[in-house]
Amino acid sequence: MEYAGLLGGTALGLMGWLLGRAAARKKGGLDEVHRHVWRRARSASWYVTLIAIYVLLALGLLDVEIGLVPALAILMLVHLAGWSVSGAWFMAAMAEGDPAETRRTRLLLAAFIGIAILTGFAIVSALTGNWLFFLFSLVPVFFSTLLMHVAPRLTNKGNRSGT
Amino acid sequence: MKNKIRELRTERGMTQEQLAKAVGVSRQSVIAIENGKYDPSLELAYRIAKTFGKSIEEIFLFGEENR
Repeated sequence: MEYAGLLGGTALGLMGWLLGRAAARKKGGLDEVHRHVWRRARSASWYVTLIAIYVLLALGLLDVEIGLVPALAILMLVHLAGWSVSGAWFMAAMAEGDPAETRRTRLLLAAFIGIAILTGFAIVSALTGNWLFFLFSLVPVFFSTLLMHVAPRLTNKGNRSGT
Repeated sequence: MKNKIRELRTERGMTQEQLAKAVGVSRQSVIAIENGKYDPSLELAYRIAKTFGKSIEEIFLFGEENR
């Protein structure tokens, strides 16, 4: 069952990624703006991953046992989610001419991040039987809310670097 | 960096989609460049200038704020 999840998840992820790229290529979407945005997203996702590592280490200090494999799975999910969400965020900031629309997109993404974090921690809480985990999810939710306010300013400054 | 892309495009009756096809990028990229949210590479700036039959410095305005 684990192998099915590991291989099936990878296969589905790769298929989705390749299909997405093929669809974007048809619309001329794989251009330099696309490369620039996703490079920035990859960089941003490492900051998100660093926060996740910090949270996991803090949980370790508080004697919350997670295990190596679940911890790595959490880090991988956080990293991939951070990459895709920040990419979508930066792309929305680039392409939207209408400020109201941009605000709406950012709000939706921030809500998605918050819900994803809460869901992730709720799953881990249920798996470990330790509901303190759910309480600790407030820390990353706080950071993501903080980022929602800081990111638009950083986005406007950072987007101007062309190549 | 400010630019005159929107002005030149509307003068010629071009849509963002048409300009995007002409220079080989997506419509979203044209929007980003028009709004000054993204400064294009030299190569893309050259393609845009060529499409409008102008030089790069006639389209992209390098001001003091870019220093």
